[in-house]
Amino acid sequence: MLPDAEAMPKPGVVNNTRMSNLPEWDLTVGEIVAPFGLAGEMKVRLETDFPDRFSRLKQVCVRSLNGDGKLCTVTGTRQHKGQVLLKLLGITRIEEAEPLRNYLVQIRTAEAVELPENEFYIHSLIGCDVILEDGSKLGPLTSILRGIANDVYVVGSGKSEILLPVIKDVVKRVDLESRIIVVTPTPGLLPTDPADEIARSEKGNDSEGD
Amino acid sequence: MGRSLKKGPYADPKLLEKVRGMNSRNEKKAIKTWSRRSTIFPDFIGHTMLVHDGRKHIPIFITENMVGHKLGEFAVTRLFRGHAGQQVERRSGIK
Repeated sequence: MLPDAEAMPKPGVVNNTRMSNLPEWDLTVGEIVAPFGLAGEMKVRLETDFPDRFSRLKQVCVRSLNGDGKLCTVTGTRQHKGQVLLKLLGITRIEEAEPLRNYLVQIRTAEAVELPENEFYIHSLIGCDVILEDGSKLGPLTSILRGIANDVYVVGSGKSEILLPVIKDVVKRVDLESRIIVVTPTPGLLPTDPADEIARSEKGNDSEGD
Repeated sequence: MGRSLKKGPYADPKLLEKVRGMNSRNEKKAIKTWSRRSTIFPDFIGHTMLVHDGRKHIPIFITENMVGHKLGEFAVTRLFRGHAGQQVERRSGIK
């Protein structure tokens, strides 16, 4: 159960006004999972690929799952067993930290770490149209599976779902401005490929599935 | 306990045959397999394997440093997708 937003303790609120919506603070970097210790520290499960960014944070938006956000001043952070311990201004006791359980820790999208070439934020790719080099559309990018070997683009959904490995041979161009991803799938990757049909027919008398 | 060295690494014979056939024809085509237990042989390098994760086939591009591992290691069967509808600071790179 989430606590009532009004009943939430007053952390270091900027401008002394409760801001019900802070639309520009929408990039989640972590989720408060539990208080830590008695002095108001909070354990944060990371939702970022850059855990070091917490040491540079001055201000964060702490947002409940119903969307109410509050700006808080960060007074201290430290790493602990793969998670981050966060200390906010005005929260000095475990009783004040407890209601913030399950709240999201967010920053401004503009504060996102700049990525090198050929790397993109997942949220910026989702929804892009995936097209072949001849211009024919495969469908929208619905999600990305982060794999050990390579990431996988999930195009479309349901039975028409197509999985494409995110490798240079397949993903030729990503254009975030026009929201398109140009791909050249290797034979056998598209469900309509004859190679796939052969594999499907072979499956019945194939011992590979044992 | 590991597999006996005397026997050598295991890969599904049909899969191995398929890969070697494609190598001899210099052909590149995604290979669908259910054999997660197969060891990745050097012959597999450069091929894309569609490894079954119990529900769907995950495309895995085989590289040199994957040799000796099993195919199943690269297609995880449990997946936490996180909470829906959030923009998180996670990246995806083209390899």
